[in-house]
Amino acid sequence: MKNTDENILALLADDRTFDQGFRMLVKTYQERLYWTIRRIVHFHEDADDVIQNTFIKVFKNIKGFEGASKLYTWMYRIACNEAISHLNRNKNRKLINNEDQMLFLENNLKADIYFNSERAQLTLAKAIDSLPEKQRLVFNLRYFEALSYKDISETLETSVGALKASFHHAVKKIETYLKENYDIVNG
Amino acid sequence: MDNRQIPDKYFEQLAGKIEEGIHAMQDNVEQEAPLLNRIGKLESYIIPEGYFDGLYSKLNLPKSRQSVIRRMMPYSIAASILMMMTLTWFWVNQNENTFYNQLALTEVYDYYIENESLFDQDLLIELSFEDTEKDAFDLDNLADEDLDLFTEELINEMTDQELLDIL
Repeated sequence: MKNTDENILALLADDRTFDQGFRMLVKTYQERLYWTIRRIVHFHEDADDVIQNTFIKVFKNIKGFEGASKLYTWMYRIACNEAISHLNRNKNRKLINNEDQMLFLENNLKADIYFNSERAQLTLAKAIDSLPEKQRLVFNLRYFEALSYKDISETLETSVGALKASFHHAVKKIETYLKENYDIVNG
Repeated sequence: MDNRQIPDKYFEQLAGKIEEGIHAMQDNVEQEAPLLNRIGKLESYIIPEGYFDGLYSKLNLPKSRQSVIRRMMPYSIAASILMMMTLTWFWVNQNENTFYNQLALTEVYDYYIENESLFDQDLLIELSFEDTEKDAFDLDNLADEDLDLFTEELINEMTDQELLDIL
């Protein structure tokens, strides 16, 4: 059986095949959701917690999924909300100012065995993290996930026009950040 | 001339113009952000080997309805059997009691006497005494002497008026 949304939803609709359907859902979307979450929270341990919470929420609420949006945009919304909530719960991020936050991120990413701390990539990670929350989400979903604006619009419940503007501003800010650290990028 | 006239082939070109506009607004990262473009989308993040193979089993999912039904099935069967046994026991006992109630007192006594060794002697004596007391109020079974004594006591307790009414 193909892992299409239709097949997954059909299995989930029947109590006798629910477990099989949910397993298929996890297998189909775990990687995409993981990367979306990981780009927001940066660290694997955090992403691991968040993706588990995301799937538990999906499990509890899937019966209420009415199909108004695509299954994965519905799950992206849950994943993004979970990731942002996770960040907000992280007291370190609340207590420190923006410069300290960057330093904290840099030090932790350098120490993270699950991060390839090539200088250019580390600088890019810092540039993305310096963006306001909404711009960061839009940039990640559009640039890395290559989602269409329509899908992002469903996920973030924002108009396509506003998303395009957000993405444009995000790209400009990232480029400015990279220019300011030009030597590092070239290094 | 109608003011509402539109340029020739306006609608034929409209779709192309909109598409052009969209492209202009599209990401255009290559031109707008050459440094970002140079770094590219290479993934900076690394994940533990085999992480996704074990993710599903790590999920602490609530039990689904089907799982609960499957898990509770043995208990359901056991409960059903217990209920059937209970109902059968009540039905049998109720019928036995009905049967017991239909027996004549003498038949019960006969059963006791024949199976005396099976019963507690003190209990038998107590039951016999109770039945003797009941018999004391059964006028048909009273001896003549006892009947005379009973009548005498009854007369003594009656008032004069009650006696006059009887006579």
